[in-house]
Parts: sequence; C-alpha cells; structure tokens
Amino acid sequence: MEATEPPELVIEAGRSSRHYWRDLWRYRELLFFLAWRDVKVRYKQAVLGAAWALVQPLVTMVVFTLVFGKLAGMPSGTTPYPLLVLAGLLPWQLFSGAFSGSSGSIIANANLVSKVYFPRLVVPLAALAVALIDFAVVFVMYAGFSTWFGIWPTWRLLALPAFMLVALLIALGAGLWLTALTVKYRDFRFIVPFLLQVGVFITPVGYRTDNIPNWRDLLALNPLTGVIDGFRWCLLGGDYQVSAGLMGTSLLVAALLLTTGVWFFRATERTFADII
Amino acid sequence: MSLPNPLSTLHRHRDLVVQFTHRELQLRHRGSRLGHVWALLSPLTMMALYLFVFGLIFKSKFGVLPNETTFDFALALLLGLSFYHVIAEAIAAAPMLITNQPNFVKKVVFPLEVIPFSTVASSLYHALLSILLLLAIAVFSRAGVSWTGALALPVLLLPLAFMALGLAWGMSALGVFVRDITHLTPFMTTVVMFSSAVFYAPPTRDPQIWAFLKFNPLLLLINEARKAVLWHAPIDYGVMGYVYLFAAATVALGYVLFALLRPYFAEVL
Repeated sequence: MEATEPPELVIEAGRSSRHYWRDLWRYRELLFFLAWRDVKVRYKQAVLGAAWALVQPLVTMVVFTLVFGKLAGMPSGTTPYPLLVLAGLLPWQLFSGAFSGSSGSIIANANLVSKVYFPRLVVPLAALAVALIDFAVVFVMYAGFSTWFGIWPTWRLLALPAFMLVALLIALGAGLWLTALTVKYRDFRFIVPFLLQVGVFITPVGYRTDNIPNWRDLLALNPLTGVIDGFRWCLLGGDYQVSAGLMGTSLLVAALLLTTGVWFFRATERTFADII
Repeated sequence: MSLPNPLSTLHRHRDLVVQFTHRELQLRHRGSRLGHVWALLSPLTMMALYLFVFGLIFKSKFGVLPNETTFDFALALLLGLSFYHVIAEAIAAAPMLITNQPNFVKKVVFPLEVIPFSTVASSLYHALLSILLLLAIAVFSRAGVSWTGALALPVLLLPLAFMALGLAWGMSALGVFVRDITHLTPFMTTVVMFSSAVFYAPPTRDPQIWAFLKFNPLLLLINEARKAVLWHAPIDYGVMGYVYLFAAATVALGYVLFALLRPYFAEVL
C-alpha cells in the first residue's frame, strides 16, 4: 500500500486535531496490531486459554441459579433458570470485558502513549477486541446449553448483533470517561472493579425485570437493562418482550455516554503524554 | 526434612513485617488524591450499593432482630462484608505476591513468608477500620451494639486471620508454579461471597443447599459475629470450635505447602 515516495509532512498548529478522524482511519493497522497483541496475550500465555473464559460465566450461572432461582425463589417463566442467567451473562460479560479493558487501556499502554503520536482513541478501541473474542467463546457454550435445554434459535437471532453493538458502545463510552480520568486521578482505578462487582446485581443478570415492578423504572435507567432484555428476547424466544421504553432509554443513555465520553477523551488526550 | 517454625521466623523478622505491612498500606493508596480516606470510603460505598440491591430491591432480611429495619440490615451487611473482604483480598492478591518479587527469591536470602503475612496484616487493618466505623454507627441503631459481643471481636477475628493467612501462604506458593491461578481467583471470590451468606440469611430452611453450606466456616463465623455484636445473642462455642479447627488446619496446610515449595521457587521464577 505504501508509495515509493515518502508523503510530505506539514507541521502546523491544530492540524492533528482537525484531521483526527482521518488519522484514526489511517492508524487502523495499529488498531489491529494492538487488538491482536491483547488477544494473543490472553489466549496464548495461559495453558488452558479459552477454558478460563468459560469458567467464570459457568460458575456465575450456577451460583446465580442457586441464589436467585432457588433461595430467593425468583420465577423464570417458561425458560429454565440456568439458561435465563446465561442469556443475561452473555451481554454482561461482553460489557464488563470491554469496559474493564478500555478503562485500563491508556495506563496499561503508558509507554506507548508517552513515546509516540497516534490518535489515542486507538488504544481503548483495540481493548474491545478481547471482549469480543471472549464473547464468541461463551456464545459457543451458550449454544450448547440452549440445544441441551431444547430451545432453538428463531429469526430473532438476527437482531443479536444490534444489541451487541449497543453493549459495546455503552462499554466504550463509560470506558473512555474512566480511562481519561484515570490518567489524571489514579483513584478511578478503584472504581472499575467496584462498578463491575455491584453492577452485576443492579443489572438484571440473575433475574427477570418483570418481577420487580416497583423498581423497574429505576433499573431502566441502567442502559444495560434494555440490552439484557434484548438479548433474552433474541435468544430465549417464548414470552419475552422488549419494551420500547426500556430500549429507548438504553439507546439514549448509550448515545449520551458515548458522545460525552468521546468529547471528554478528546479534550484531555493532549495532556496524556505529559501526566501519565 | 524439618520445617522452620513460622512463629519464630516471623518474630525474628518482626521489623521486616512491620515495614512490609506499612509499605503495603502505602502502596495501596499511592497516587490517589483521597489517599487513606479510601480505606473508610470503599467499605461504605460497597455497603450502600449492596444495600440498594438486596435491602431495597429484593427486600432481603436476616430475620433475627424483631422488626428488623433497613438500617439493621445495612449494619449486618457491613459486618459481613468486612469479614469477607479479608478472605477475598488474600485470595485475589496471593498468586502474584511471590511471583512479582523475583529479586527477593533469587538475589538475597529473605524470609519470604513475611510477604504474604504482611498482605494479610494490611487487609486486617482495613477490616478493623471498617468494623470500628460500624461500631460507631451501630450505636445509633435501635438494638444498639452489644459491648460484650464487641469485646469478643478478637476471638472472632483470629480465625479469620488464620484462614486468610493459610490461603495467602498456600496460594502464593502455588502461584509461582501455576500462573493460571490468577484466572481462577475472580470466580473463587464470587463463590466465597455467595456461599458465605454475606447478604442474605443463612439458608437453613433449604435442606439441599444447607447440607453443603453448613460446613462453610466463613458463613458460620460471619453469623456468629453478627449474633455477638449486633443481635445480642450468645456465641455458639461449638460452632466456634469447628471454625477454629478449620482455621488452624488452613494455616497449617498453607504454611506446609509454602515451606515445601519454597526451595524450588528460584528454579521457575
């Protein structure tokens, strides 16, 4: 793709910021390399590789089925409880992987950031790749369970990528905020595990949203609620409904998070190399 | 092969223990603006969020105090979380403790058992802080604090320290050889959290689940601590005997594992 003649380089004030999005496209190879590196680290260093991606959702499925399904006696409708939990865990894992990856990404690549110029947005974007690969692994497991419980995919499965995209965008929006904030205030490191540990309960991963009518409106403010309902609608079939209000809130919050996230990231990224 | 006595080793290197614990506490808050305020802020935030989910949404109750309020629930929650965090932090940190310090293994003669010990000591320090905070808040609850129960806290915290120490020693030694343990720790902490009834009453009424959970020493210990400090009930010494036995076995096993594997650390690091 390279021309034999090196391109002319004009250095002028504000140029990099005017050409930001074009630069982002030009640096796509870096994006692929960073993503590839992360995936390689995740799946080559550990002996069992993919197995670790499976252990966590599997154990969480068992624990949630016992605690929410058996102890708390939450109803699951027509679907078996483990499958209900797993269908909620799919988007949750996608989100939490993408969120924790992107929010730690700038600090994790401190050496790269402080040494050379490139659109910093590449780093948190590349961090999404590992989450996607993990998602694919868990999805295969889900397909196995789904077949075992005798629930077959319908045409609704076609809508799944849309819900995946929403989950990823929410994660990216929140991740951009946190990664930019962590560069300046290291305290925010503590916030991510916090949010994830508690988020798994505030998000209806282990239970159905239609069981708790009095808190449903509050839970709907969590953009992942809509995504999880969407996933269950796509995967479980049957009596699952996607409420337009819930989905609307999801999209609205996702759009808000993403635009403000990109704005804040862009506003602070010039200082990253100096203060990291 | 005879194993060195860990008590005499730790006593001989007590200055190192103090320094490492201090360093551990410093490191945890390095570079953060609020610094040590986090030690108090983080358990409180945790409690508030769990309270919202389990207390308000699920209306979970421990059902021991008559007319249990949300405030009573929050106090019992905070006490359970403080105990749980000591174990969870030991599990989460242990596998990398020795692995991250190859210089201490290869370059100098160093009492390595000090490193896991001071990690546990620093998380116990944080637990103590949040328990003191809890006692200060609990004074305002309707049931109040049982001061005789509060005096029994050292008896309740000792087995907790032993279990954490045993886990830290054992897992830090294993972590040197099996790097993959770090992938296991997040779900180990999840399992410990749910099986220890941190935010729900011990499920005595569900015979299938209780048949397993009644052997969980952390669940029993947390329950005894809540009874003693918050619920004005006497400690069940039979239960405490079991917990102490388990804790002693954990710390002994953890140490033996550590001491047996240590000669080989330098070969793989």
